[in-house]
Amino acid sequence: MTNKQSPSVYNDDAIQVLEGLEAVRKRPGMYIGSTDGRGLHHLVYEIVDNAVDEALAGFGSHIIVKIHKDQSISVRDFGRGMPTGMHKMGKPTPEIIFTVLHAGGKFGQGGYKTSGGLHGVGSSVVNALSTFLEVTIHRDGKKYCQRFENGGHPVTTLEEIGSTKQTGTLVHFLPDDKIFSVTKFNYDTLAERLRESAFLLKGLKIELIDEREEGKGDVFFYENGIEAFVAYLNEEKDVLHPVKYVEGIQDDIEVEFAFQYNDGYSETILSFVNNVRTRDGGTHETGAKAALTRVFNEYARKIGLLKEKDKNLEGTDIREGLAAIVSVRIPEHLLQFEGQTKGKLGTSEARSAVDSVVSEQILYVLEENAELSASLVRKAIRAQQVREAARKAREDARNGKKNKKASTILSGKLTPAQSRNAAKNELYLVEGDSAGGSAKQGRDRTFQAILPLRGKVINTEKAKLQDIMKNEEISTIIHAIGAGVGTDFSVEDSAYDKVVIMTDADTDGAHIQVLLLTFFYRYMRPLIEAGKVFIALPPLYKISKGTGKKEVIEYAWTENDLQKAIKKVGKGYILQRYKGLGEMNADQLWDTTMNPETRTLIRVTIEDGARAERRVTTLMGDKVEPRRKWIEANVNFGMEDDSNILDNEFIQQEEDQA
Amino acid sequence: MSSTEKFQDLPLEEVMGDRFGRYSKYIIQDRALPDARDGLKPVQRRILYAMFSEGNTHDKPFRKSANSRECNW
Repeated sequence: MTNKQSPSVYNDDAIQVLEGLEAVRKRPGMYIGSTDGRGLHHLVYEIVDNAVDEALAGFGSHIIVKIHKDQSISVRDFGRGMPTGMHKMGKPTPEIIFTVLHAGGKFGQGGYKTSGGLHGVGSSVVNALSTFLEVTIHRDGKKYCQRFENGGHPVTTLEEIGSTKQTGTLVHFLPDDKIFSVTKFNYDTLAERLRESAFLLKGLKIELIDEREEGKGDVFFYENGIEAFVAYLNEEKDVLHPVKYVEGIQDDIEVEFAFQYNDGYSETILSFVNNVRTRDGGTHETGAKAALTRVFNEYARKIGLLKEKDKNLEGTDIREGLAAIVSVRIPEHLLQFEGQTKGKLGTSEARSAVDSVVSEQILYVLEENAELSASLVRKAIRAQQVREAARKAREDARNGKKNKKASTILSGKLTPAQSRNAAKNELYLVEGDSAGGSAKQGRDRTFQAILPLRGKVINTEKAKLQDIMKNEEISTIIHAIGAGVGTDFSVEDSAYDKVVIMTDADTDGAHIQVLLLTFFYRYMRPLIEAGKVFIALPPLYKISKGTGKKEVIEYAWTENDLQKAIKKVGKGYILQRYKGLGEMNADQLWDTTMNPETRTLIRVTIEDGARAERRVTTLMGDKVEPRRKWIEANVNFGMEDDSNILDNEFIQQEEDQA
Repeated sequence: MSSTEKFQDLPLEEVMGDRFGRYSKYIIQDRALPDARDGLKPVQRRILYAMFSEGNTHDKPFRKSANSRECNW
């Protein structure tokens, strides 16, 4: 690892054992995922989750998180406080907690019944990656303090510094800028996550205070727990009924399930285990889905909306427009995750527990609200019919006469690529016919296809489904990609490996990007999830000098680039600011924006389903008030130029096989 | 292709936020709303200014709009 010996000297001495926290500093990725902004915020979650576990165990219902001016973080809970005695390893217990990996109170010894913590590494990892960490403990009427510096080396022992009437623990730490590429905490990211924690534990009050800005702060406190969470998910949508909530315990597993339908078409199901989000679902989510499908079908048959011969409703039909949360609490001895990150629950008992609790109680809910239930069933049946119709249409389009018709619809606009290699082909959606023309000339015709779009695309968030399907632009896109639409969409069938949105670098271009992304998010979401949707970035400036053979041309994408390019070209340069793709010649367009060797593409990803969902409904939905609020909070009005999208702090550079 | 291509990964909500912020700022500031001082939208003000600087005032005979060249932004 750190050995700089030549490879030939690979003997016993070459094998190094990393002691304790050193391992964490060497390979932080294994413990916190990464050392960029995400990893940085993860440190806070580790400490907050410990505080939440304390609250979960029934001690203390108030947590205060502060972002200090120097970008350090402090987390105060009012639980029991860490044990302050001497541990049998010969050091004060807090020192053990903060410096020894796999030291924890959550291995089933009775300190905690259920907890998000599992491995006993959280606190020590944070300590290892901090410039300093100070822990202050209020316990048994006394106040203790210990300080660690430079990656977890204790500089004091556990000192008694006074008496107190409070209980609880305060952890104050500053992430090490030698480890992290980003050290600035993002308020909204933290707020979002803390709000989530507050939702998951009824009656828990989490306060977030940002000392970097006067008076900035939030208090998250929800008496209704996940009911409020579901309402929050649907806040900006038109809902069909009040949130329904069920709970129960089976086999030591506590199950909570809340759901609400809105008038949209997408489903949002978030699942949690011991208050930790399971991004990739797992057995508890499967259980809930299975139960929902079964109960709805049974109920539909019982009230006669589904006749004997009719096919069962599929899960996707029933979950259309559903926002739901599954939260389970599983004791430590049953808890199992798939993989290292706690992304997917593996506990098989959870499936049956969730299934039986949900199916039993949802049946009551359905029976009690007969009118509502019938309308939900009808909604699901409509979804089934739409799905069937779409499937039929697709099959028809694939075989026989209608195929010709489909290709004639296309032929006018789409300029296809010569090869039919779906693993390599790229589809460019270009703003305007004129730019489409130069893109056509400039492209590499073997694998790049061009589809010019005229004017603004329809807003698929607001418009009715029929209008969307009738829309010419949208239907050409659907046909060109050829992988279906909505629930019927399958990435494997996509005729293109990359769908690139290429618009002018002006404000209307930005709008078209937003509209197209909304469409892809709502109707071809797997395409985004597979990382196949891109945004092309045409250059903003051209800097040139001389003419003919001596001509020097440089392009610039940002202000920084521009200064560099000006220096490179030297005196007497001519600067052109591109206002649209149309100003570029075909070869320039190829060089700067379409050539895989030289272009810059932004790949659109979905990292947090809930955030993406909310942002899309806020910005594109038919409720004006939330959009107004968003604009007031996020847009800086004034004369200064807009910031460049390449400066976004969330951007991640990644190498990828093209 | 075996060459590696670099992509800038950005979550959907960030892309949407950035792009929408840009568009909405422009629409609110420079397109849709009349200024309280003169009651004109930017495009109307541009036209009047272009006509004024070409001397195309009310006492002159009419002139085709396409001939007003200064009305570019």
